[in-house]
Amino acid sequence: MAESVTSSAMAPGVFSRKASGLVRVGSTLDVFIFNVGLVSVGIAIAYNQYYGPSLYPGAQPWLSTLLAAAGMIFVAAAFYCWSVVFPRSGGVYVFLSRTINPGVAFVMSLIETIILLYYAALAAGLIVQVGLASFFGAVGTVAKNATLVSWGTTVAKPAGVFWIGTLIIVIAGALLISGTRRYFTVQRVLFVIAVVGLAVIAVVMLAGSRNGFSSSLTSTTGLHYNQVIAAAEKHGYAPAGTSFGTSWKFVIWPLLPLLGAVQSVGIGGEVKKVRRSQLLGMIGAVVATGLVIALFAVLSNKDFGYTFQGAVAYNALTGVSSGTTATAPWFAVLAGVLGHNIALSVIVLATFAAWIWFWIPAEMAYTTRSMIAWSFDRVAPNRLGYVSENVHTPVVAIGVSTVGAVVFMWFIAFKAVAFLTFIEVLLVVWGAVMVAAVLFPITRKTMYAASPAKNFKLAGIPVMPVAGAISAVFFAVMFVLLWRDPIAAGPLIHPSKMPVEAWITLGALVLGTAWYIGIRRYRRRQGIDISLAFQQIPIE
Amino acid sequence: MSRPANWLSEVTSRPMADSWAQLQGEAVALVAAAAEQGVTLRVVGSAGIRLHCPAPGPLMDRLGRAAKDIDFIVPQRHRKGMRKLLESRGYVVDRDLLIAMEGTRYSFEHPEHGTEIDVFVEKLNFCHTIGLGERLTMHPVTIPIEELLLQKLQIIEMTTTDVMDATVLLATHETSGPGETAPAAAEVIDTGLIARLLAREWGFHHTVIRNLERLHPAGTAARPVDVGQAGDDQARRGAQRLRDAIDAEPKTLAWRMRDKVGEHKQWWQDVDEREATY
Repeated sequence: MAESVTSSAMAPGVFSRKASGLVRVGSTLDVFIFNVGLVSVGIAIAYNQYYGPSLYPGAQPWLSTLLAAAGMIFVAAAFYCWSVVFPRSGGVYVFLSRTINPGVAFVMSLIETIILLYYAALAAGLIVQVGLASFFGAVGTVAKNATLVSWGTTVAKPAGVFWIGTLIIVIAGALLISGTRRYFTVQRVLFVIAVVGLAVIAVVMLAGSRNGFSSSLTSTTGLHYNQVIAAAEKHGYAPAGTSFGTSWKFVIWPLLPLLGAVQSVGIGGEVKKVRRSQLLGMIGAVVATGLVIALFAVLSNKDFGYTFQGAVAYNALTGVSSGTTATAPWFAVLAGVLGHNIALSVIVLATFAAWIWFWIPAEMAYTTRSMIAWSFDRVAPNRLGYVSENVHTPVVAIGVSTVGAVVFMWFIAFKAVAFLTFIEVLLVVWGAVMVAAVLFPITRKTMYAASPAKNFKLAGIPVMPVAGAISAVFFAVMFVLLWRDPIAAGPLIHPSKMPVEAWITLGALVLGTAWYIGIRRYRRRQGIDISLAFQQIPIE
Repeated sequence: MSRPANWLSEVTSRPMADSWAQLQGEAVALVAAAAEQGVTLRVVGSAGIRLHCPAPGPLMDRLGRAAKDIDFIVPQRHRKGMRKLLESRGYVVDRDLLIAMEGTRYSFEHPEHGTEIDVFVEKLNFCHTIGLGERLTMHPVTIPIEELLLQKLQIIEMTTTDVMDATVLLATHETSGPGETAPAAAEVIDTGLIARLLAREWGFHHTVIRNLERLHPAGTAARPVDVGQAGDDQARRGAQRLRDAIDAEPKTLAWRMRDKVGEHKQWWQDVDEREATY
């Protein structure tokens, strides 16, 4: 954009801009918050400390988190390359449609959209279960208030999860309708609250001790530390020493939240200085959240004890009510007990609710961008990209996202759709993007040569294809781990009884393919060649 | 700031390049049509400089400063009316920008004659933000001369055409001295107004000072743009008077605090090239 002007002689065709520039909405900090929010430190810590020691005895969540983060560094590098090749909003759809095949891209993107809406709903459910129920449970326990404790159990029931979760999703949709600027502003405020809250919890945990927690546990809940462990062992819990092998098996749990660290690819067209913002936003989010999540795993072991965490969660999961807290013993509940203070319990649970919240509007924003990209490419109805003249935002796409998430809220609340099974499908979709990164320099030589990614090299090695190859292998290994792990996910395709997620995925695959073939013919009859949209050359 | 009665006929009657003649006619017609419908629309950018008064046009023609498109500004409350008006005249809104900017910026193109129109809402938001407020309606067709000049001086990396536009404005207008108020009947750049604005914002101030230095590097006779000897003298004098007024203006506490940080912290907001968002 810049050019020195020192000569008095102006040549014809003087240097000027093609058009007035744009001040885009998202800053580097917004991208970082978007990604860190999508990791959701709260969900990561909650899952790690609840499911790790209880269902994978010997697995150290801090180690699993660092292993997952190491793999995600390569994924982030590959996605970063894509985001500078195509600095557009629309996520994987944009990358695949311009380099592999638009039909494949649409179907993959449709499946990704469905999965991400599921995770938006899952987060809304977690706010109720891990946030609100724990909030009432912990505060009620610390304050010795039976009414609050009973609220904790009531809201965690299916109807409570559905209705409160739906309300949260609708609020997220309304926030997006109010505009991306306002959304980013709200996220910045909540990010400060979440980070400060996390810092307070870290200080409390650093100052806390196992003895202090044990005595607080007895005085607030009536449970005895050693009796909780004994009850779990009596019902089959087998504590184990640290095991690298089990930690590796557990890596799929911290991977779920860490996958969020690269999702700013979905809003690439809306960020300023895309090269700097996406680099710091993606790599920074993987590193920062990986370290913070691992730190809390270490602090949890220090204050609560690894075996106790496993035992108390095991008792909750297996219905041994005499050996666990009134509400499920998520990290937030245990931290509240450690703090032994109502104000601190409120801070702990507000912090966790804030962290979990980040997932919801961000996942919905990502899916909204995909829908608009389909609409612009004419593979979806124009109406999907309709912008309200009153609020100036794409209300139809946001509305579809909101409704989709509410449908999944119903599945989660009443049908208990499996936790990580959808991740298997997401790994296939994103794995395809990683394979495309490997093939891109070969199959789209001219495009690659004209793109900034050509210059990204480490010790002479081109980053894009190499990071893509390592990430593809990483995803394949994670896929196998998930497939072979009946606790986390298990096989998506089960001959004897196909899970709901398999039908949803299969349905999206068949309907998406049929839709694409149909719309291509329809557009052709309208005299529109939709393939022209995919001939785009990336910016230099 | 009143204008001579024959101002518009003087601007529109002079000889000019074909492309500009078309754009000018369209710009003036659109402003008039908008006014009929109760919509306030004003021309900004280089088209605004040409339309503001008769003097800059011939000089810009001589410099080969071609007009490419028309930039407008509209108050927030008139967005709907503006869009309706442009679409009724055959313009097609850029849906990509519509979604990306969420009502803070519009772009239109006419499918037949290819005229491109950018519309800014309420303020000019680039490296620095220029709010118009009540001043939006001070001139019948364009924004006031001070804002036209600031629109060029706020750019962190001026292109050749930005330097041309700013120099032409200074070469064709008198500037008020420090403490002087611009005479109501004359087209004089009110340096006090600019100085007061910049005394509140260190970043904006810093960019403008850098750009004034760039237009007329201190201690040299170099002419970045050939506007003739008389024009150059006037532009040089205008830049100096503007600089003096800016320096003389008492600065706010926020300005002084930010001054201590200096260039260690970025002082402008990033402006990206206009590429598609989706």
